[in-house]
Amino acid sequence: MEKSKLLMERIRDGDDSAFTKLVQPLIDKAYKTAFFIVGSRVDAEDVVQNSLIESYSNIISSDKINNFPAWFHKLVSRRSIDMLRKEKRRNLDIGDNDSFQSNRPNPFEEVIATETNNEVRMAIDSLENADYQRVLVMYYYQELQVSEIAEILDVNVSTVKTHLRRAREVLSRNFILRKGMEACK
Amino acid sequence: MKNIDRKLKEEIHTKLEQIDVPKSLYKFIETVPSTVKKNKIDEKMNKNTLNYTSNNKAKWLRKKRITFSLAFVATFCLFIGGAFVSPSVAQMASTIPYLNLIFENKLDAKPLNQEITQALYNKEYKNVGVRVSIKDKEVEVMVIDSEEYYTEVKSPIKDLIKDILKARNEENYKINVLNDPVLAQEWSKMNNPTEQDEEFKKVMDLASRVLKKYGYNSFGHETGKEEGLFYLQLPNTETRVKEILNEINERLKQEQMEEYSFKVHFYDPKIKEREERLEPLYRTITKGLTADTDFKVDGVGYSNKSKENFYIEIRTTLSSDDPDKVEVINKIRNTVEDFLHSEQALKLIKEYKYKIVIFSKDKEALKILTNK
Repeated sequence: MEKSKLLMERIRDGDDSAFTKLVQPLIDKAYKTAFFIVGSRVDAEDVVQNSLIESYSNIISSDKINNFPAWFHKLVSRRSIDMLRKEKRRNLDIGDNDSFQSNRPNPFEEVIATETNNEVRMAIDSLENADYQRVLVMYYYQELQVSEIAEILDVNVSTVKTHLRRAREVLSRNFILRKGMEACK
Repeated sequence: MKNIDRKLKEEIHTKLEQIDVPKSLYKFIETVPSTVKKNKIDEKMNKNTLNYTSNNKAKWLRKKRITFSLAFVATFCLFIGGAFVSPSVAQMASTIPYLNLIFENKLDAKPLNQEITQALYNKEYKNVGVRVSIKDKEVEVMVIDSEEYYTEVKSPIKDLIKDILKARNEENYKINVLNDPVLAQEWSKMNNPTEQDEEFKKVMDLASRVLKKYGYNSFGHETGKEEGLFYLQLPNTETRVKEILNEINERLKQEQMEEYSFKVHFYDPKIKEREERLEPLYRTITKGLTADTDFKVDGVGYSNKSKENFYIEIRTTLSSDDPDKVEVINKIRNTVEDFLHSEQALKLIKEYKYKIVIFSKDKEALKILTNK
C-alpha cells in the first residue's frame, strides 16, 4: 500500500512511468473480472481502458486514494456493471445493437465448457442465475466486502448475503447429490 | 474459512486464470497520461453522448468506421431523395403519412447530423466525425488527422456548419471543431492493413468457404485478434456445429494456421429476423423525428435483446412540467402510429411485437406504444 502511495505521488509530480508501474500488476485481474461481468472481450477491454483513464484523472486531481489496488478493482467492478446496464438500454443511433450478444454464452460457461471432471466446477455450472455468479466473482475473486458489492450492484446488503448463501447452498446440494449419485453407480 | 468457501474461491480463481488478457491493454497504459493531459478524454468522461465519446478509444474507432460507411450510404440516399422531391410529392404529402414519405424516399428529411455529414462529405473533408447533441445544442466535429490538416480545415468547417445552422433557423448551437493526432496515427494504422490483417482475412475467407457449403453466405464474426480467436454466429437450430468446426479446423491445419481457433455464439433466428424486419422502421422513425425540431426529439434508440418485444426508446428534450408536453407527445404518438399502422409497415411487422417508450429529458416515461 505504501508503494502505491509513493507511485501516486510520483505520478502527481509528472512521472508518467510511475503510472505504468502502478497499474500494470492490476490489469490481469481487472480484465478477467470485467470480462466475466460484461461477457464480451471488446466491452471488457473498454471497461478497463476507461477505468485506467478515470484512475489517472483521479490520481492527478486528488490525493485521497489510500489503497489504490483495492480502489481500482472496485472501480472496474463498478464500471463493468455500468457497462452491463448501458448495454441493456443501448441507444446508439448508428444501430449499434446486437442480438448476438444476448445469446452469447456467459464467459463462465465458455470456460466451464472446456472442463469436465471436477465436482465443484460442475456444481458452479449449475448456478443458472448470472447474478449469483457475479456476486461470487466479486466476493471470492475481487475479494470485495458484501457492502461494497451491494453498493456496486445497487442492491441491499441482505440481497448480496442471500445470493451468497443460496449459491453456497446450491453448490453444497449439487456437490452432495453428485457424490451420492456416484456412490450409487 | 468453511470448506465450501475455500473450494469456491479456488475454483473461481482457476477458472478466471484461464481467460487470456489482450496485450493491447498493456500498451494502452502507456498512452493514458498523455491522452488525459490533453484534456480531451477526461473532458468527455461523464458525457452520456449518443454517437462518439473519446473516452472510449477502441470503440470510437470501430464506430467511426461504421459512421463513415453509413454517412456514405446516407449521402447517396439523401441525394436520391432530394432529387425526387417535386410538386407532386408535395401533393402526396397531404395524404401519405409523414414517416411513410421518408420510408419510401419521397421526402428529403435531413436530421442535422446527416446534413452536416453530407456537407462535409461533399466538400471532401477527410477523416472527420460528427456528433450532434440536440439536448445540449452542440455540434462537435472531430478531425482525425495531422495538426497541419486540422489547422487548414478548422475555420472552413466551422463556417460551413454555421451556414447550415443559419439556413435551418437553428443558430443556437455551439460549434466545436477538435483534433486528435494520436487517434489519427492509430486510424492510419488501421487503414493500412498489416501482415496480420492479411492473415486474418485469409482465415475468415477460409471459414466463409466452409460455411457456404453448409448454406451460410456470410458469418457474423467478431475476432479476438490478440488471442487469434474467431467467433462464428450460428442459429441455435443448427445441428451440424461440430462438423462445421471440425471442417474449419481441418482447413486451418492444411494451411498451417493452427494458431487460430473458432468458437460458436448462438442466436435465435426468430429474434434475428425480427431485427431485420423492424430495424428499417426504426431508422425511418429516427430520421423523421430528429429531422423536424417540432417533435423535440433528442435521439432514438432500439434494443432487440428482449424475447418479448422489439424495444424503441424515443428521448425528447421535454421536461416533465413542459407546458407543450401533451401536444408534443400526441404529435409524436400520432406520427409514429400512422406509420406503424400503415400497410407498408404492417407487412414488415408481421406477428412481431414492439414496444415504444417516449421519455422526457429527465428520463420519465411519458407514453408507451405497443401492438400487444
